Amino acid sequence: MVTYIVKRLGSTLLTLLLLSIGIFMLIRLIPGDPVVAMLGEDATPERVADLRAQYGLDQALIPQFLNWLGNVVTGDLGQSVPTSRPVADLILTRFPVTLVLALFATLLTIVVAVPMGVAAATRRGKLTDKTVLLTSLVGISIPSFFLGIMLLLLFAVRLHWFPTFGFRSFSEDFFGSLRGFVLPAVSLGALYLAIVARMTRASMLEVLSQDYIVTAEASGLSRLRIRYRHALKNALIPVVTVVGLNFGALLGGSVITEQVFNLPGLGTLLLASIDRRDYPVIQAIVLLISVIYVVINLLVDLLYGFLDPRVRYAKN
Amino acid sequence: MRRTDITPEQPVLVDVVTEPVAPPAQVRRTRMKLLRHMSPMSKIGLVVVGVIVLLALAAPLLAPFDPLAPSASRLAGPSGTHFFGTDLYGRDVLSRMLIGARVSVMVGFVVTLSALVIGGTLGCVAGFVGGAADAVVSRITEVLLAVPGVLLAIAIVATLGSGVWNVCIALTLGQAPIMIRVVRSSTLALRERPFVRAAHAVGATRLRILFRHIAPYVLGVAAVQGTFVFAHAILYEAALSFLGIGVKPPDPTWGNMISESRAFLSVQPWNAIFPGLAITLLVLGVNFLGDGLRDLVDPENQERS
Repeated sequence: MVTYIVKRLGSTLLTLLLLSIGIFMLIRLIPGDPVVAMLGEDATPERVADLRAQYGLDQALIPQFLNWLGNVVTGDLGQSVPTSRPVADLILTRFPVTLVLALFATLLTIVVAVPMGVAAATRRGKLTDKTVLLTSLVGISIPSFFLGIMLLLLFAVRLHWFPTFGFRSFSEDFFGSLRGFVLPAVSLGALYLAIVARMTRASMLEVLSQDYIVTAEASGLSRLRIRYRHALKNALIPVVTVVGLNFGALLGGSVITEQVFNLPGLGTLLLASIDRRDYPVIQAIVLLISVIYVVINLLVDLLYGFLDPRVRYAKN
Repeated sequence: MRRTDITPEQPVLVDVVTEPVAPPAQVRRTRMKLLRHMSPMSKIGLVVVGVIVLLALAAPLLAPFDPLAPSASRLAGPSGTHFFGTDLYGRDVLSRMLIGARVSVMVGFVVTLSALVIGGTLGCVAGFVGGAADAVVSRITEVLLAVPGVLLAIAIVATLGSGVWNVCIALTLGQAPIMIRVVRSSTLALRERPFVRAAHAVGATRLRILFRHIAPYVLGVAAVQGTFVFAHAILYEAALSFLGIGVKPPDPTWGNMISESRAFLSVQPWNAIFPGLAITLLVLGVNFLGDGLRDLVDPENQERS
């Protein structure tokens, strides 16, 4: 297990290093002069020179990178170009909304998708199974923003069950604020719900065909006991990993959902920053979400290795 | 999200003792049986995708009105002359959707082909040659996959600028790594197969083994993954255009049509519903097709689904 952990840690660190190089290079891939692109054509030469110095664009690439990496690791993500506010502050004020949205969507996924998958697997080939399969195919195929707009149209515009727009801060009205997250969480979670339902079904079917389940059946244990005590426990191992991996993807997907529902999270900040060509903010958001994604990946891998010893010895 | 979906393992099709170097005959037969053995669902998928692709190709001939010029009053509902109504500038929604279909279909094909070529080549090389080539390819793949898909596309488009070609580049960079992984692990698994070892033992060259014995299998797996790439490309292009950083108005795409409809959602919901249904239908068709194809290529998976 220790060798496995060390190997995975090393490989993750290398990935993070290469990833930060990639994100660092992003700004240098902008066609033309990045500083002019950020400030606009009519910027004063002093401001251009100032910003160029701030990014170290007048230095060689490698010292520039090391300098930037050092700052990032110590939590200094630079300054926003138009407002000169520290990027870290901007991100911290927006992050809770994105995090709550992703957590909400994950919760929804687990609560709905796992029972769906189990129901489909235990009634294989029956109407329940077919309904679950078809629903999850639709869930995978419908664009999240379209689903969000349709939910808004039905539940907010027509039925007035939920607020249309307008976010309430957590401190001001906690439950009112959570209510505003219901529709966004459904529209963000639908895709992952579909994936987890399919995954649970497949995993459950595989476990149900194993010898020890057949033995348990033959020895006369009750069906329910077999399904929920023996089968589900093992069937959920791969599901846990998928839910974990999806959490990172949900943080990325929330960019779209936040835009649909006008939620003040990282996603709306990212898009506004793209509009303003505020590259330090863009870089920081991409870096932050990717790092979280990679770290979750690592944790899920380690957990999987812990739960299923075969993984530790399989690859590499 | 499909990364874990595809099992590269395939049943042993050739008996080593009696037929040591036989080319994978089953593969050829599978290819011929493809249409006959498709499930009803995947046939429906094929028809849906086929019809939408044809509509997209013939769009300029079929569009009843100019997609870029107002032809009636604004925000009119569906009617006999404007089947899907008109948008906020009085432009015919059906004509705009037909022209918009071209963007979806084109992005889908360009990204899928690029991912197949890049992923197929690099994946085969990484899996078959191994060593340093494998290490480099796998590392690059890992880094690209370290950024969640939507975010990677947004970051690249934000850097390169909007427009249909930049969208294609961004989506290819996100999808090709997944294809590389799938092809690589499939190649790796095949390398140890008895019939491949047997071919090696009787003196077949490495190139011959790669093209005659490994490529036919890998092609099937790559084709299945290709359908998922196609579906993802359409969804991501629509999302990017919806966010206003993909293909920008006035050129119509299904994504930016939905985006434009948002301000008038309560007045004229059809402006969002029709393009949204079009995306869903096309992606659903592709997914039907992909699932059917996977059951054909990978019977083991069918056992479970």
